[in-house]
Amino acid sequence: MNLTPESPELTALVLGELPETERREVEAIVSSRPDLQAEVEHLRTLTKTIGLVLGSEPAWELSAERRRRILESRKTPKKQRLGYRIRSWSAPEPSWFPWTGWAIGLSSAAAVALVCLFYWNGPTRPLGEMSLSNPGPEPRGNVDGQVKTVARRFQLEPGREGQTAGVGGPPNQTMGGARFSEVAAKADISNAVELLGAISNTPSVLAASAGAPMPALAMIAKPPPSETTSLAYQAPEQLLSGLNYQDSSFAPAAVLESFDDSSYRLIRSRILEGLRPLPEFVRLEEMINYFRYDVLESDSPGGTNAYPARLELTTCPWNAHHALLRMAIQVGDPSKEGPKNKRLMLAIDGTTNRTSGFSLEWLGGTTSQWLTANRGKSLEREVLQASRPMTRGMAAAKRPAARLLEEVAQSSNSPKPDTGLALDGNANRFISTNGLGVETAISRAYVSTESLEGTAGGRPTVMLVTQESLASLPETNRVPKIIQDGAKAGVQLDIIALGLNPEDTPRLAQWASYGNGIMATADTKADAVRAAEILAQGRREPVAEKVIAEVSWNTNQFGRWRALGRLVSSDSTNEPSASLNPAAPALRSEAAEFNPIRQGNQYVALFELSPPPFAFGDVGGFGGVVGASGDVVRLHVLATSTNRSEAMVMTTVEVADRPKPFSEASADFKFSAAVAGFGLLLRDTEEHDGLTFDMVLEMARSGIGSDVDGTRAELVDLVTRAKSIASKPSENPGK
Amino acid sequence: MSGMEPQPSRSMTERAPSDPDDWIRDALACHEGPLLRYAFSLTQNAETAQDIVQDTFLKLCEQKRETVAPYLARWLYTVCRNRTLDILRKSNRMVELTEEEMNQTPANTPSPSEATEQRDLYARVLQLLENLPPNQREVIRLKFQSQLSYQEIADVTQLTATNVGFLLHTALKSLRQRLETLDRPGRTQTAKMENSLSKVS
Repeated sequence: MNLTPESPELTALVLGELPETERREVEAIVSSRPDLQAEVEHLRTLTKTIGLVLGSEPAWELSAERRRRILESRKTPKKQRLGYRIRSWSAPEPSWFPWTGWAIGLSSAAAVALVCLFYWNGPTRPLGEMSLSNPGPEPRGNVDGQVKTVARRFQLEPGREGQTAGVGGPPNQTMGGARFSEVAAKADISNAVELLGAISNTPSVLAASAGAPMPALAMIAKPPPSETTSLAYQAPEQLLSGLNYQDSSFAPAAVLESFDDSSYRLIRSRILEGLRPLPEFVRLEEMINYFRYDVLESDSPGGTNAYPARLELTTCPWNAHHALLRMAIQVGDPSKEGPKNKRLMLAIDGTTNRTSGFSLEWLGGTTSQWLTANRGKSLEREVLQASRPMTRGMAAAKRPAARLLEEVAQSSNSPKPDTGLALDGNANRFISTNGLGVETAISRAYVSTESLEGTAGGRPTVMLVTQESLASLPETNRVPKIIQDGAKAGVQLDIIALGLNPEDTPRLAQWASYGNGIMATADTKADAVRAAEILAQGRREPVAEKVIAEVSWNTNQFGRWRALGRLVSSDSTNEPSASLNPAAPALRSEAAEFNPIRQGNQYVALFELSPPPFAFGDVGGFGGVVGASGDVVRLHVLATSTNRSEAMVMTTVEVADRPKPFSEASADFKFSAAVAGFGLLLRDTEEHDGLTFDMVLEMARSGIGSDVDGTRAELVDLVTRAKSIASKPSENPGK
Repeated sequence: MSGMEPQPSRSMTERAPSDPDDWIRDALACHEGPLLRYAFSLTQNAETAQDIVQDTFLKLCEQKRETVAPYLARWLYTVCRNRTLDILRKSNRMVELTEEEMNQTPANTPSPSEATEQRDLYARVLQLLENLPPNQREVIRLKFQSQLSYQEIADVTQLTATNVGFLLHTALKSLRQRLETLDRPGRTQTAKMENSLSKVS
């Protein structure tokens, strides 16, 4: 170990933060070096001083009134505290497995009663309509068994009445004869009910039927063995309390970094440090949605252009008696329409310096990818067509893209120091900034960006600067004037930072905030590329304020279910709800912050389903009677447009086949199942049955697909590492 | 360093409450003050800090004790920090400072006149602490005031433990340089402060 008086190890030694072996090593070195001894003494004195000063600050206390409110809040029922009106549900918590004799007896009676009611009264109404006094005409559809529905509400702002039409659909589109908004707007029950699920015996009128008594919800709501997984398994009170989980975890952390894949990033960080991730930080939903999936794949069983969706049903890889259902929704096609605003993307590479040259490989590759993807043409052709002479000192770029990128690469290797390099959004201006100050270089990028109004198709000018160059800016809290001017001119500034000095993060976040953009920090090149790709797609035009996904299944086929990952309602809190929008995972916080759901956002969820306890066909299996419609699983996607209020059915996808073998699943399905399985193992609960790290590895490898950005290979590596860590004793206190 | 050796965090932050019914009261007694100081250091507004800490404890009331008790300090600080950042964001605190505000903002190093006017050593060190960049100031307070470990600070701030160590090291280095700037040689100044404070304490 090579120690100098500047080494952080000395600080860690003084603060007692070195591991035992390292501490001994450092102490041995210090004892033999007078300069280090002196430095350690200075640090001890200083830390002692700071401790005395901070420890002597006057005591702070909450006001008596605030203390009283806190202590009294414990005595207040949660449903009152949160202002919900919840139908009381006093059923004891049933267990997941095994069923007790009591449960079987009661369930049998309830099932018989249910069937009787079902055939006697016709269609049942959803739970959400239980209080409507004048139910409308009751459409009768094919009776093929109860269909349970769970509404996954991405953003739960109540719809406004009196407005019509929705995104891409005709006005007054109906669901089984009644407009969805009539149901949603009049229902005076909470969103918890929607999460818990409406029950209808007619699949075609999931949300609109009315008239029959409500079967016991307890029959289908089975709490999981722990507080993990689906909220919908929990009693309403538990559900409401659980809705606040995100306040205690990661979503607000996106303030600085704007990427709400914190759970995955934290897990990755911990595993790479050789530590076991803390179970409570493992969010399956965030993990699954960290990865980008191909919802538009050609064999997708359904969906519309506006809301392509995909449903897939296979046997569950970790429980042969269960099925696994995957729901994937995407809002529009991001390649169809780009943002219109003028944008500058500042890419800061802290891993290189000016003398060693830029690491432009990722920038060039990324730029090439998004230019090609966004226009559907080759970059070379694009540049040839669009190139034109430069002005004001900018070098002409009338050459093929390959040549252009080659030139950039050569420039990056030039011994002549560069301040920054930029490629404008039309790929027709290569902005050479040799020898310029960083502020001037950024100014040039801004000038180029500003001139692109209406021509760039929303693609950003990408500018790469080193952290070294950035350091030449004065260390003030002031936002540089060029950024102020750029913001006034309507240029949005996004910043991607790779290997950034943590001290610079707040300042850059301030710049991005001022520039109405996003600041993203990346620890690895792969993350930087991923961030660049996502940001290059831009903050697209909002297309919906609210999207609801309803997954329903035939209860002759499936008895119980759980969502792998929590379902979250935004009504529980006014906090930013990063998990609420079906956003691209890395931009979910952005989507939540700005509420509207934008083109290209996607959401993926997995459900584990078990066969019904009293299947009408093959008891204990998935061979039960399929109703007249033949439906097994159905997904409705409803959306409320940004300028209108009515929720419309945008997409309906059905699966009529029984679960296929997992081996026949798509690559995306296998991979997302692997991610979910990985999360279940990391949570260290008993809910994963016979799942092992080896099984997860096998699933992940079989679903790795093309893995353009390398993120899937990274997961495989993480699982491998986690497997070796798992054999070590847990460091978690109390665990 | 006998008196000021950093305390093992768990002894204060993660002890199990003796009375199950009073664990919120225990948590209040143990963490209320440090959380208020922490929230205030982030917001610079006492009333907002009170709101934030109240919200934090209200959220704690909604949790099951067994779920959060093992990580109580980390949980509280994480919620407190997240709530604070959200409030700061919603109130658009991250905006450009005007020239006038810039002049009022403490400079990176206090001016000699300010330094001579501040005779109180407490105030002087506090002044220097407050002049640190926000992220350094935050980890200093979490370490020395809240007695959290590197890893706990990392969990709260969403940084890595390595980053936390680097920030603390940089902050201490910066503080030392500024102390030396105030009254060279800095070692004398620091020792003088230590002696004075030791007498007080």
